[in-house]
Amino acid sequence: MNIIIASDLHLSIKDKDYSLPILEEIFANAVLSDGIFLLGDIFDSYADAEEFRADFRRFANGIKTPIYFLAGNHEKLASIGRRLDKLDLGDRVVIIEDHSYSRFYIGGLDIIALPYNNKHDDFYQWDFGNKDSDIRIFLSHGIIEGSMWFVDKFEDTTAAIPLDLLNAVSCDIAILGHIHQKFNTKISTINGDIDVIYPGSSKICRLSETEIGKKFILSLHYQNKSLNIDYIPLEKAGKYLVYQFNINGDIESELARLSADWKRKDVIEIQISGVVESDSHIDKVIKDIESKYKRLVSKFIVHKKKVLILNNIVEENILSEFIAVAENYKNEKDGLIAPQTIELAKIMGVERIAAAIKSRK
Amino acid sequence: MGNNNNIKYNLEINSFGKFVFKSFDIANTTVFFGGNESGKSTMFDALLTAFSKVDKTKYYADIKKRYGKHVDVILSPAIDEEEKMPLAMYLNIYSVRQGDITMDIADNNEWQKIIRSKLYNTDIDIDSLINSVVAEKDSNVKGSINSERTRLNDLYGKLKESLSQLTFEKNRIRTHLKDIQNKLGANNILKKKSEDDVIALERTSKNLEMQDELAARNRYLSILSNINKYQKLNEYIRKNSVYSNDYSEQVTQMDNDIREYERNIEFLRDKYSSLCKSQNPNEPFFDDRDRNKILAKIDKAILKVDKERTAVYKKNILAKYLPSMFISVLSLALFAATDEPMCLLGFISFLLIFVPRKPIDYHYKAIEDIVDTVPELKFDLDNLEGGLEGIYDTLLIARQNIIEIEPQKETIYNEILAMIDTVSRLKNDLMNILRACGVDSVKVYLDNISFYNEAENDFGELYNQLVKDMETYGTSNIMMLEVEISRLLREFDEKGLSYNSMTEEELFVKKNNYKRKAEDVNTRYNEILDKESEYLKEMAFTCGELSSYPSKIIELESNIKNIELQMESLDKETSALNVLVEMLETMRSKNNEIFDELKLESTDIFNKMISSNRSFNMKDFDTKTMEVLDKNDNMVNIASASTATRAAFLLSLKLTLITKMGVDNKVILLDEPFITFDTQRELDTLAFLKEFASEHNIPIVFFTKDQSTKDNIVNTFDDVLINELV
Repeated sequence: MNIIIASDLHLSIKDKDYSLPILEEIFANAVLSDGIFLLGDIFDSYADAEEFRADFRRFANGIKTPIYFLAGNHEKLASIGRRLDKLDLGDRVVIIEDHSYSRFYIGGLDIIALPYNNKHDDFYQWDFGNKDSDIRIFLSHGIIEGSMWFVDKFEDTTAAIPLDLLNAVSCDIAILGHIHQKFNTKISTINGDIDVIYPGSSKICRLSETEIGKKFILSLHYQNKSLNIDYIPLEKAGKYLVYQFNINGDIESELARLSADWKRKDVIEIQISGVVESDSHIDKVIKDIESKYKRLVSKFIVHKKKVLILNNIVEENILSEFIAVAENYKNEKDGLIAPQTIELAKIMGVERIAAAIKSRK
Repeated sequence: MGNNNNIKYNLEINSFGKFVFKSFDIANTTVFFGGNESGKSTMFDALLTAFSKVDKTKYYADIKKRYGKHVDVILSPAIDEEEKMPLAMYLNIYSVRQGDITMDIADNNEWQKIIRSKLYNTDIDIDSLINSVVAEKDSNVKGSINSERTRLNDLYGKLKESLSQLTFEKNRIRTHLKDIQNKLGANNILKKKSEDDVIALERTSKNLEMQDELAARNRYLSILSNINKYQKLNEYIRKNSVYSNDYSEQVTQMDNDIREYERNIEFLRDKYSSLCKSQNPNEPFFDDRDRNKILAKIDKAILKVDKERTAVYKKNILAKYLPSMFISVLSLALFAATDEPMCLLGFISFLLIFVPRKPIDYHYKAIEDIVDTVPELKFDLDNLEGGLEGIYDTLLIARQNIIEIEPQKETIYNEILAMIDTVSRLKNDLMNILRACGVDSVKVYLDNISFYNEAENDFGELYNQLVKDMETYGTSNIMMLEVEISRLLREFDEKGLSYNSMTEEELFVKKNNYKRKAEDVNTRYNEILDKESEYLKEMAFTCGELSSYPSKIIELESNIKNIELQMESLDKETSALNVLVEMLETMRSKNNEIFDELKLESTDIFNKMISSNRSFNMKDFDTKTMEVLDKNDNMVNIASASTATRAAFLLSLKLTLITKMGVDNKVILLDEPFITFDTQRELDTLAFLKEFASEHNIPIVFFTKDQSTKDNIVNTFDDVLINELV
């Protein structure tokens, strides 16, 4: 028995050429599976759902696998009460969007599926029934209370899922959409610790820390009462990689080595830090890098991060003396102290000396 | 002022305190000599002002305050203002004023920065940098990492506490919700039960309603039935109007009479029968003539019977005893003949007399004759019982009857005939009445008359009832009533109700019971519904209250996580700052080496000045670290050392610094520098100063009021220019 789980594709008219092939890849991965669960925010808004309904239906009808579509908060965006099940997303598509749970038995797995809701206030009266399998899986869209997740500015705390709900469901595993980073944790419930899995978004939605890395869908294999969960990378989603380079380091050879692994769909962000004599130097470095690597990937961003321009204080003896000491220190402590720490110390030292010089002047 | 070939500078004082338009030369070695208030200090300050940078320090402010706002001093050759040293620095390094050999050593003194800059190739104080980094890292000052960590820790603790509090509150509300759920559950059980009661009640209500309707239906049916009865009775009465005259008493009387007569007839007949022992009571009786004739015949027959009886008796005696007598005689004869005793057994034949035997009957002919004598007695010769004796008895009885009973029989017979006649007449009358009514028995008549009378009564009652019903249903006659009631019934039957019904009493009781129970049940049910509504409301409110917690908790968790991330960042920053401190310390150690060199040079000067071999310590310009070996070979802080030793220490330090800071466009100003020295130390110092001035080519200007000092200077130095002040 095999189930595919995907989430947060945010299929949008804004990046149709990027996200539509990912949807196709998700369905292609589910051809031989017993079911595919989409954990919400597959569309970026209801308007996008309307826009892509035909494409979705075409892909969905192209496979024989039942598709279970849980609505996320983005499917509700600007929906003005309109429903996904009115969009005819496919013959075997089961829409789960009402504020109540649905229960499925697939290949011996007991699955409780609950769509997004900004206020879970009536589940206390629900009866989720006894577990009819060795494993009960809870699928939903939101952040479970107790996940200890840092909600960044892009995320929404209204997608809160009460811990009491998890207690009431009495599941063994909870798999959820909403958080874009692949993130696993354990949460204590009244029925013991359970695994909580956020597979993360299916595409690079924005350039934030939570998007860094590859994008995955989940593949659940249940056989002989044993459940294995594998992460299947989405090739068409690419990966978002962030590198930090010191302006004084050998950026060129480092990039030459790293770029061998880059794919066309990847988003690469280069952060350059360090102490330089002038803006023009770092600008030239950035320009050179961009001209060489930008064409290799879908998005190539180079920016300065913690760069200290010495400009007119470069002649100060103490500064050159400090930089020499720092470089020496770096060599002496190679392997003992993280280079990033030494680099940070160096920048901080330069900052402080520069401040002292400025103060003196 | 004497002649001197080594004049280095000329100082024109246009206005400076007491000096107005004065001119003084400064040679390689110059002494300003004069008593108290001769102007030595003014001269010192004038020179200090001339050689140092005019700035805004308090020293210069003091000078202006002391010597006037418009001090005017011109030094020749002039020194570029940029090359001049700040007044305070000049005062601390190149000068000793009024015998007070001190150094104003404090953090970040401008002159110290300049010294450092000169010494360490920079004026940035590494120690200050280190201190500021350490402070940034470890101090509790606002903005430091330590304070930030403390702040974050506090915030973390508070957030954790808030989270704990929030979770506690949530759990409290959750417990409250559970409590409500339990109450609701219990209430639901009661509700279910109460709903069952309500359903049962509704069923009862429906049943009672049906019963009401059925009662109405029964009323209709009853009316119809009454109408029907009324019509039937009406018809019956009409058809049986013959019964309108009631002969029941008469008929009953006649019937009773007839029965009485018949009972009497029967009695007389029985009596007659017993008299004539005849089965046939109607057999004709013998009249008087017959009776006498028959009586004569009976008497004749009796005589014949007597005669016959005697003859038959004799025959029977012989037949009984003759055979046994014969056998006995024969036996005796045989015995006598044979002497055989056995022959005597023949006597047993006597026993034959006891053997029963049919007696010899009368001769039939004789009996026939007798019977023929009295044919009236109708003997049946074929079945003549008792034989002749029977005939005899019959003849006797017949004789008695004819004489005694027959007259009675005749009387009874006549009574019977009379009664039969009466009965016949009565019956005839009765039958006339009955036939008139179309019946043939009294019982039927009586029944009919009774029924008729009853019917008449019923008819009357029914009519009265129907009149009331006509009023009730607004009809003018019974036929219209029937039509109306039939219509109502048809309507009723269209509802398809069953015909089970109960009595009105039962219905009344049931209705009362229902009413009472309905009140109870409804009150209870409403209470339960009120409770349910209250619980549901409370539950909805509590669920709503609870629903706000997860997002609050997630927000708190997010804040906590954010603080953890910030703390991680702080840790990274702290690590970096630790590394930075190490880097800066590396730089400081290099500067320390430079300062150690300065210290050694200074120690050398010190020992030369005081002709000793003492050591002293110092780290940078930190007075706390300035220690010197005293006479007793103890390292003491200069603050605790003797005045002379401290003066020598500081003078040697000043001279060492002069070597570092340079001598161009500088003069050393020493105002009573040896005031704390003994003569030998003064001489030693003067000797060293001569050597120092010569080596470094720097002029020295002494200010003293002391003649011996002046002499010692003159004796030590060559070409000393003496400017005497008065």
